[in-house]
Amino acid sequence: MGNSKLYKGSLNTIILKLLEEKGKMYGYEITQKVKELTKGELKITEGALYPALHKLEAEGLLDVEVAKVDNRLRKYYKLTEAGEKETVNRLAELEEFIRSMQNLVNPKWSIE
Amino acid sequence: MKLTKEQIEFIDDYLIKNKVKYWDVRMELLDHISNEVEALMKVGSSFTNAMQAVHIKFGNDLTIKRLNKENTGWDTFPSLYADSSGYKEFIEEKRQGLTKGFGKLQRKALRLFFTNAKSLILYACVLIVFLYTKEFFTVKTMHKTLLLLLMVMALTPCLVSLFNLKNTFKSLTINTALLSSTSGVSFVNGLLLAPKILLEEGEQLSPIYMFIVLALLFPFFYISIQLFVNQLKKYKSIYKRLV
Repeated sequence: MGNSKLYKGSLNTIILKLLEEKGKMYGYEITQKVKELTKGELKITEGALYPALHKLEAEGLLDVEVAKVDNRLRKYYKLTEAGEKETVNRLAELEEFIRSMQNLVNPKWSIE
Repeated sequence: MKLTKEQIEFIDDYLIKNKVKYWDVRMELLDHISNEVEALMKVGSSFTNAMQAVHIKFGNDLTIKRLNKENTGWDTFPSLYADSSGYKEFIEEKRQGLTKGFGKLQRKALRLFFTNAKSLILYACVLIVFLYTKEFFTVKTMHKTLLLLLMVMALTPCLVSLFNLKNTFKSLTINTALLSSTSGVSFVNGLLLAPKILLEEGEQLSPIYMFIVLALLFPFFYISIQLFVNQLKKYKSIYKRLV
């Protein structure tokens, strides 16, 4: 995945955030959306995305829905109620982490 | 550019030949690969070249080596069936992701078990019945009954899956859920059978010890059965759409 190891720990949060915004998405769509939002800076590989999606699904944070599209079945992922709560927690954690890193790396430019 | 039905069938067949045997993995890969191929064809690639590019992208090798007619060297040519190590690794990573996820879900469900009134009433009833029977049966009978009860509970997901063979063993998700939910069998063995080795001949495990084992294992087996059945139901409905 990606061009930097720094992104690796945030993959689950990125997925949850995208699903919170879009409602439901399928695997390929997530990879393309991340590529588009980061202007190609972050490329999520299939080998990283799908295990993460299935872990979140098995944890009960994501639900799945299958629809027939263009002669094939497409598996959509969406947040469960527990997933919605978890997204809020993880985003708060991530923001806190960014703030702490900002303070450490460049105290003068800290958000607060 | 959208793929034709024949091209989609080709990709499905390609995945089967590359040993992607689980239908749930294949279903998702089929859609993902189709999307990738369509995107490449949109920018001018042919179907064959796009398939080769995707094959490599998933970490598979494309080159087949064969000894030439003169037996003096190797002839190399591309084949979509040369190597499927990338898909093998992909399936393994998915299995690991699912195992971690189910583990986390089991822990969460166990916490919920102790906060849910219905589960707590059932739990209390089981423990009370066990204490009550202590008065009427010998320790040996109690041990056998407890062993039977816990074994049946631990193996219930296996019994359920026997009636759903096609869904269970050909789906990576159900397969992994089954393994996670039957992991408690080793606890029954370790807590009720193994200690007997340490006992003298004719000696029995104490009823209090058996009560503790039941109190510890019952919630775990109870939630494991529930989680497995839920996963099975979910994937059975997806499978129905596939066939």
